[in-house]
Amino acid sequence: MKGVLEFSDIDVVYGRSRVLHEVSVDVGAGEWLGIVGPNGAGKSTLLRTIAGAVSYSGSVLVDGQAIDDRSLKERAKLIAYVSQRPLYPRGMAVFDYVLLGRTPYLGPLAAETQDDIARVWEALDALHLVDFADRDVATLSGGETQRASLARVLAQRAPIAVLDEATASLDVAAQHEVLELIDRLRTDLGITVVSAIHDLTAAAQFCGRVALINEGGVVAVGRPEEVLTERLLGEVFEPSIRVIDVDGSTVIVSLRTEETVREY
Amino acid sequence: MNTGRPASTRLRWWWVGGSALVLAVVVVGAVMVGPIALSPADIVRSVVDRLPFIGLDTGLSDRSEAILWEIRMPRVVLAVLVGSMLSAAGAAYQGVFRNPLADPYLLGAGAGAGLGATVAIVYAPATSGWIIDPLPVAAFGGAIGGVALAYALGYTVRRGRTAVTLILAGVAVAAFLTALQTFLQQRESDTLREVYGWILGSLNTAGWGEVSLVAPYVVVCLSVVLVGRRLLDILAVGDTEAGTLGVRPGRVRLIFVVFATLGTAAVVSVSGLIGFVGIIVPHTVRLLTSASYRVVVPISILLGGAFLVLADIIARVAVAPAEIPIGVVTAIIGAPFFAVVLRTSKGITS
Amino acid sequence: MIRRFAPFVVVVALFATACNSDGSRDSAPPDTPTTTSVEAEPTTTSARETTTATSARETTTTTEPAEDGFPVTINAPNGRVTIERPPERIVSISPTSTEVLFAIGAGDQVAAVDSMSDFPENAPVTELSAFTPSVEAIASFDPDLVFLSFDPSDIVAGLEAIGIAVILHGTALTMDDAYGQWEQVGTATGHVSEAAALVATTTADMLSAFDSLPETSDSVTYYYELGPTLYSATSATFIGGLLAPAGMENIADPADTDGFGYPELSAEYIIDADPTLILLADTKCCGASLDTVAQRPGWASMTAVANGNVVELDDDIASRWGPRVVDLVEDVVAAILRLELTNS
Repeated sequence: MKGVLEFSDIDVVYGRSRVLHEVSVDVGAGEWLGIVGPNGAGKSTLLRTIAGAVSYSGSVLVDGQAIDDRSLKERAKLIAYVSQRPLYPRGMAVFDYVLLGRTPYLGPLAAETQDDIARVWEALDALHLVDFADRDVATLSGGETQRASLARVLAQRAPIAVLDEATASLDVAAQHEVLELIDRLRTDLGITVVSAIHDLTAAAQFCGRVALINEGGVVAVGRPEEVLTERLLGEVFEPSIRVIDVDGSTVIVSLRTEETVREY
Repeated sequence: MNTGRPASTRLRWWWVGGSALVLAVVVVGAVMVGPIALSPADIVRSVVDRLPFIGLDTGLSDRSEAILWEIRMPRVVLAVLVGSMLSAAGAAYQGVFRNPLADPYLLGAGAGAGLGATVAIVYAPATSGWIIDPLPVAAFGGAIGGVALAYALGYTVRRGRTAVTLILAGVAVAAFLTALQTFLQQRESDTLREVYGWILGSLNTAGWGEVSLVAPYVVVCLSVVLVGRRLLDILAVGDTEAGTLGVRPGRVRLIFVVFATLGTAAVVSVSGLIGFVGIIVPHTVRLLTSASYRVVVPISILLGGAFLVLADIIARVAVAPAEIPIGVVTAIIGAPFFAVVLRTSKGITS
Repeated sequence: MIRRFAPFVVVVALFATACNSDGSRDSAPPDTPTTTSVEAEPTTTSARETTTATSARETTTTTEPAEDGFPVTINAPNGRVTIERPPERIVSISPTSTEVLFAIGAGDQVAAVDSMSDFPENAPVTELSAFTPSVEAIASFDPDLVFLSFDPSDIVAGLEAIGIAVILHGTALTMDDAYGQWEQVGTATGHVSEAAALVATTTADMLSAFDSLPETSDSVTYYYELGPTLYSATSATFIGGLLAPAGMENIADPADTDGFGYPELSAEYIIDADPTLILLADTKCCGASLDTVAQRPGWASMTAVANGNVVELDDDIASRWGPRVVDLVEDVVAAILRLELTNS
């Protein structure tokens, strides 16, 4: 199980509107694919096709085999998913929340084994949540809950992690921490990461591969320096975007000038 | 590195033991107590006498024996069955719909049973000529029918196999069936007292016949809910994420609804619509123990039975020798309960 | 849940004062003098309030010398009602009033009766509802006099407003109340002497029935069942008062601590009390009979069941206060006599 993911000609229709149109993107094993684009472009929808939450035409292939051909349990062992606004059930301990990641390996009637419990502790440790193990997950801060979701992903031991806006509403430091943790999972364990990202700088700094999506269609796919250009971003977002190099790191910002003020 | 689950997340044995003890105490109390005073010593002797190979002179008259064994005992047993089933069904509904206000009547089981009972009372009143009493059958069928209707309605919504859609469908169906029932009742107003009495809920006419009618359903349905309780925890993270963890939320929901409703329909058909149990008990269990359904389901079964036995004691004894309909007792306890929960609303968990 | 109870509370409250039931009675003791012109109160909100019938001997009907004694003025419970000439198109929305009308010979003056007025059989039954009567529906029969037994949604006022004479004869508390109503019916319809005769005959029949009971020192106890969930009527109710001269003790009395009159008993209590007689008033509605009662858990051990001392009454007679109450009394007396025979 290598974790090569391929979207091929994905079409999604909601009611009368076509939300995704002939989207084809692929990402290699252990790579980080960032999906960027304006609000409503279809980023979440694309991820939800992998999660099986939306019906689509076209194919999603993992290691060459369509996911629809696999059983639900097999899919769960291949793909771990965190939604855009996850539900953190009140009263559920962080330990139990992370333990949910072991579900594909247990029957509904089977109890968890020592092995499962050990993996949960490992995941909590990797995400610095050991002290939170019996806290109510709904009482955690934004950054902590994101880490709990990542711990669950880690416990799930799937080669592909699909994260929808893993860092929305996190402060600068928390966002950085979470992104570094994700990258560590990727490099340490060879997990393929597919994430929708609204923060272009983060996409530029962390993703090995970027797909720019606008109005349901792919504008460009490739390395960040190929896709996140001022020209392309200017067309898709707004012309005042600048791509800047700071000490070797790429930073993408939107400038406020007299021109832009007049424009709005 | 730790091993084993953290203490707070396990089903602690003393929760189970404590609940079982409470249930046992309440049951013993219910057998001892009633509008007719029977001496506890005589009761114990009578119980011992019934054990095989033991014959004792119990000191009870034939009539008192009849009261004890044909009226009081089956009534207590029925209260345990009904209380456990309604509590487990309430917990199951709260879990699959991720809604702390869900109760077993959410999808129209109560309204359907009421309509079925009204139809039976109005159109088949002289039941002595029938081989089987049509009233519980009609109530049972009505309950199942109501939920089936809610499901059918929910499924007609195109993208609608979500929890919320089903709840809304259930509300619509319940309102409709209740309206039908009220209309029917109005037209046949001379049966009003009987219908109202049934709806308020009563264990007043319980005998071993009712117990044996209901027990198989309750045992099966409780088992299903108990055995599958982890799935309720999985559903708590939402349908989408639960799907990616390897369960089918729609199917799991359907299975729980089917068995919770079946059990509810069975108990409702003999006991009427006893309200509040399905909400109060799981919430109280959560406040006392843990929000995980692994704990909530088994403890609700035990404490739910105890709760209804307790309510029945009050119903029988508070204005003895008259009775209060048990639905009224649970409502009297229920209303302040909600007030307390609101005030300590940090305690509400779903 | 609570929202489900609300319509039933309203409906029960209405039902409680319907003429077809042993509705809730006033908690005042039967010998409280009731004023003759008490306005009947709308009873949609309270299950306990009821119309109070006029006490028989306080009826004052002023007759002015004219043909057939008309016009007459009656002090009905809903106020003074003046009737100019003998009514020819009476509408009765009260099964009891229907029975009385026909019993006093006013049957051919009756144009329509409500759907529940099933006695006598030749009464002109219509779809009119005793439970939710409508002014227009009643008016469509062009009545010159209407009898009602309770007043939902101010229908009395509605009929009076369009000039129709209405007499509101609510649930009687005692036989005297009932006699007073019968006499008013007689006056209102021009059958004064027939009504008086009916009262006399009924009184005499009941007296002779009770007289046939021997003086015994055994006290007979009875359980009066209104419904299969073991609702009972105490001696403070109309039925209780009706049967009082038989000298029996009602086992439901100790259970009725707030004097409501209709407690729901527990099976244990009934079995333990082991009443001598069981009177079933839920035979027609709910199929109660000696056989079904014997099948109830534990009931077979009761002496009344074992000896067959179970009287199956007619629900309708038991819930009305018309001349057929004599039948009920005679059935009960016959049952008591059978007891005496087997005991002696």
